Amino acid sequence: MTEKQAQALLDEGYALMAEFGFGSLSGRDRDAVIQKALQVLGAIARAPEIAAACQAFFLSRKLYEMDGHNGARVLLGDYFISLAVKLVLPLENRQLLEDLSLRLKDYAVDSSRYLARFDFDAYLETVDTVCKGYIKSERNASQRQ
Amino acid sequence: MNGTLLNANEVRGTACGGAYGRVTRRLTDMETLFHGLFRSETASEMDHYAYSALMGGGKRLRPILLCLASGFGDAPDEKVSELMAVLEMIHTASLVHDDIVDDSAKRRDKPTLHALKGGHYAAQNGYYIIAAAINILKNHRESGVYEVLASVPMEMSLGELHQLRVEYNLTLQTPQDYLTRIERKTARLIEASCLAGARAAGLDRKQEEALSAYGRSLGSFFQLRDDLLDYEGALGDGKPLFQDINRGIYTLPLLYAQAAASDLVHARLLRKREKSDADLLAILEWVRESGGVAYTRDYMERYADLALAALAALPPAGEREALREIVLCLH
Repeated sequence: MTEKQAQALLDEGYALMAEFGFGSLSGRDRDAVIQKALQVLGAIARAPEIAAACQAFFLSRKLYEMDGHNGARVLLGDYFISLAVKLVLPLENRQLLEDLSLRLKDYAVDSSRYLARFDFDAYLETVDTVCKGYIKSERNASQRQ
Repeated sequence: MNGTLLNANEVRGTACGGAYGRVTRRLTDMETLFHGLFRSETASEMDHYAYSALMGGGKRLRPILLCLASGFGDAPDEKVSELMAVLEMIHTASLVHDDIVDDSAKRRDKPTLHALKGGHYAAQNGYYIIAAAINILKNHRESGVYEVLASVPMEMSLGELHQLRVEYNLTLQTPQDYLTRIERKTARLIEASCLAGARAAGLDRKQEEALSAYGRSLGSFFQLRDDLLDYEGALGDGKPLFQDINRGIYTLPLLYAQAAASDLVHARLLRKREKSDADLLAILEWVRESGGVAYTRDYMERYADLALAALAALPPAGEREALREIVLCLH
């Protein structure tokens, strides 16, 4: 997938957010996660998909800090999580799936307890960790072959 | 075990007896897996509610279909029961979220998590279940199942978003729009259940296509049947009758009536956000008299026939008979 194709998938999500009254995102909210992921992943294959998945996951969480219709919020959250799944599953990388599962579980628990607001800077560190974990797992896999 | 679908006598026929026994064992394994995931000694409140949702008395249609589809080939038992769990978790999480969107107080005659703990908590619980499903899926690389499941959750959420988009809009809600909606919301996951079972068992392309076609048709048939219950006076799943109408979601019986015999009186009734019992009764009578119920039943029969016809391409195993019995049982 190219960066343009991955961005097009995210743009569909942004259009849905706007349609259902969730307003616009700041430049940082739109770009920082992807830039971070692409910076870490470099020219590795599938970088656009992983970067877009990281952004989709972020958006599924960000929605819970925005004003809007509750029903639409839940469905848009589902949309973005399912977009992250759609991007990540075809990569068939066990480490990535484990990271997605773990982060989703942890954020769900923390959010349910209304713990501290979503920490964007901490999430960027998570993106860094996840992307490095992916690179390492791919390197290990190719060495085993 | 809450597999009420299997409890129906029709499914216990001798022709599919062996298949029934295998499904029962795999369902037990699946529920043991749920217990292991969510009822450990360190189980949290989230775990408790996740387990309650998963063991809340559903028909287990999707895991049963996956199990039966896999029975045409050779798949390890553990693989099958894990994939069954994944399908059931995806479905259950979607129901937890549906209850928030619908503002439902009850499901299967029990309070919804949304009613008990609020929409925010229920939303996170749905994600918690999905997280557990993804964690199981990580063990199934190279099974061919990823390709089957990758797009389905997104299709479902797009279907639900579209439904939200067209609430109360009688111009945008047409019979064709409805059929597309139910395909996305319901039929795709049921189709994926059959196809995932086929992939897990390494079936050939022709068998995959047959099971896919069966699942797709069964899914639409299942939803049509559910929507028809509102107009035939029966209760389904403990949900209040006419919940959809009260939310401005119009199903095929009503959409047919609207297309065939619309009038200002009923259009005004449909636009009312708060409908009285008398309003609902008037709508029900109008739909019946306009032929909406008969039309929908006819459409339902067509999908049932398509599902049964798709089975012809499969070998005459007990599984095939069980899949046939499922259509007849749901009828």
